[in-house]
Amino acid sequence: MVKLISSDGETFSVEKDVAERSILIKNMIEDVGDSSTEIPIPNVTANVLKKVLEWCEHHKSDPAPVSEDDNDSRKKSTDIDEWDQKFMQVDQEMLFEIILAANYLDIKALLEVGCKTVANMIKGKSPEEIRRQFNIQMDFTPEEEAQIRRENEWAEDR
Amino acid sequence: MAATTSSAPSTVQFDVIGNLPLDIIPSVAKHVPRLTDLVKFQQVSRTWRYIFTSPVVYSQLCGPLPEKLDTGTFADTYQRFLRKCFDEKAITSLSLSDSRVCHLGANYTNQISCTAYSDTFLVFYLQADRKFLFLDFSSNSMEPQTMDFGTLIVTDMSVSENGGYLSWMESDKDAIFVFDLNAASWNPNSVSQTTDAASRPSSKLMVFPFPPGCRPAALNPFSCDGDHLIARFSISNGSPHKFFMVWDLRTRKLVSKFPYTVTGLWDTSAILSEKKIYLFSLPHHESDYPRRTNFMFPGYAKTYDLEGNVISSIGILPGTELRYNRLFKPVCGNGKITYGIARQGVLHRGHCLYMMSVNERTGIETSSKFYPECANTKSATNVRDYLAADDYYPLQECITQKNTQCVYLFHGVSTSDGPSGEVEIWDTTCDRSKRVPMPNTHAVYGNETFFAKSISKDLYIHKYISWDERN
Repeated sequence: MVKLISSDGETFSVEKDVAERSILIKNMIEDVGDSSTEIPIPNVTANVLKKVLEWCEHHKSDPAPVSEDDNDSRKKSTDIDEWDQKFMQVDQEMLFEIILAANYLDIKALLEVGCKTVANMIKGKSPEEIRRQFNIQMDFTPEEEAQIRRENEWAEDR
Repeated sequence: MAATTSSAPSTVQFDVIGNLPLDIIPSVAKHVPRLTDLVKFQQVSRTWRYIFTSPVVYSQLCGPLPEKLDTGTFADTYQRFLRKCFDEKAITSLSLSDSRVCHLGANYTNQISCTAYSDTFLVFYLQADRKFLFLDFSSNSMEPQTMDFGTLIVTDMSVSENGGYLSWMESDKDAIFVFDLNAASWNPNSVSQTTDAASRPSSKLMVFPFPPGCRPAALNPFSCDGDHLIARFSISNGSPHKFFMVWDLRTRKLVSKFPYTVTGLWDTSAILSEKKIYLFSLPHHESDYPRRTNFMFPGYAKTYDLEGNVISSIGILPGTELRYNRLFKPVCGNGKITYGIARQGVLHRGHCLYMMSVNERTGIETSSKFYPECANTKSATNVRDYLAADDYYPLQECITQKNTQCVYLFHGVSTSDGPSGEVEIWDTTCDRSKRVPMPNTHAVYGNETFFAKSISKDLYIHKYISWDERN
């Protein structure tokens, strides 16, 4: 078992193969050479770490991620499996925290799921719909808005 | 294990995108298939605008950046050369499909200011004589002929894709002229020189006057496909409104007139192909946006039918920098748009070339190839050494050809024995290529060199300006 300490001091004991879904933790365990050592995770709070470990537990038997082809830049974002879709049904702040944690802990597959989820929330939507979705204040002056509209006119249907 | 939720979904609204670090944004954006969506996102808020015009985001979406470019003698010299060429539109390339070699004699010492070509015809405008020089590669004679329309001051010209029609504009006449090159009984001396089309309805010369109070677009204002002529106009009084006009060449009647929009100063062109109008636009020069150094804007291609209905609107090459972009003549057809863009910029120091083939409806890349030119460390001062190097020669020109659906890249240098180098030929999927020696038949026009050679079944004629002579 591996002991992980969240930024707010909570301890999580997890199986080594679950913790090693995180490349960061895997490297730390290798560096320390002793998996019984407590590993601090200073950038992730307990409630977020709990969610991340839940994801790692479910995916602990997944094959190792294949290195990403950088040139394959426009993948479909609809191919999130059912369990992951349900897992990502969290409030928007938690979704944000999971993405940040996945990035920090270097869990590529979780980062990918989080980014796909966000992409699905915004693609095909108008700026106004996006503002409503995320409660964003429109902070352009009327002149700026008009200027941006002019610049982006080509993207409209004439 | 069942997935649990920390709280009810979406009860707490939070600007996820606006708070993510910039380096994560491309991981989100790459799952948004429409580039136009990424442009629309700029309208959400100031933060989103900052994010979606960020060089970091666009450069990551565009794929790998070129390696740091050499700033030595060769790169400096070559950059100066390219800058001149791009600014002055000095490089002109010609591509024809025919099995015969064209050799242009040295008698034509006049300054050539315009060229136009198709698969069958090659036309020069000789500025000193103010006449057209004309080569018909389908005829038995390979001798150039002059076309005498009287003295003309031609400002722009093109030959239609199917080779049937030469169209041009003159500086002192408010009209577009179209001439049927295929006329079997063609006799240039019988051609009327009047601009009054109505008085010469049976003439092979067609005249399409500008609408009153309107002027043609500055760049590539017209295009002809043998069935129709399109032209872009704006109103002379400074109004920003721009519009297309479409004429039927057979009836000479106006088919449609419809507005279009471009913003800022653009390297814009429009092509008529397969009864569709492709409007291309690129940021052209950094001085367009002198105080907006972080501003990046994708070029775009918008497709209309002949009635002006939008068929598609796609972004092309997002992240295109604002300096010295040059769009090489695209090839449109079979649902694809294939084009090359040469550019120089802050991120991409030195010049480089992207060859892209995209789906014309979605803008999604079907293939792409990246050429980091000027990355070569060889010195231009020793041409022999450079030629001996096992490396690309400098890229002189990129052309695409309709009938073969191939992309031709001319890599070469000028030597005392004439031009030397290679032609690299790619199919439009950019996954198969062959390299053949640079044509070596050439004729010299002052500092300019034309060369032509039959390669397989294709004939290449290329106008080449020696970069070392230019500097």
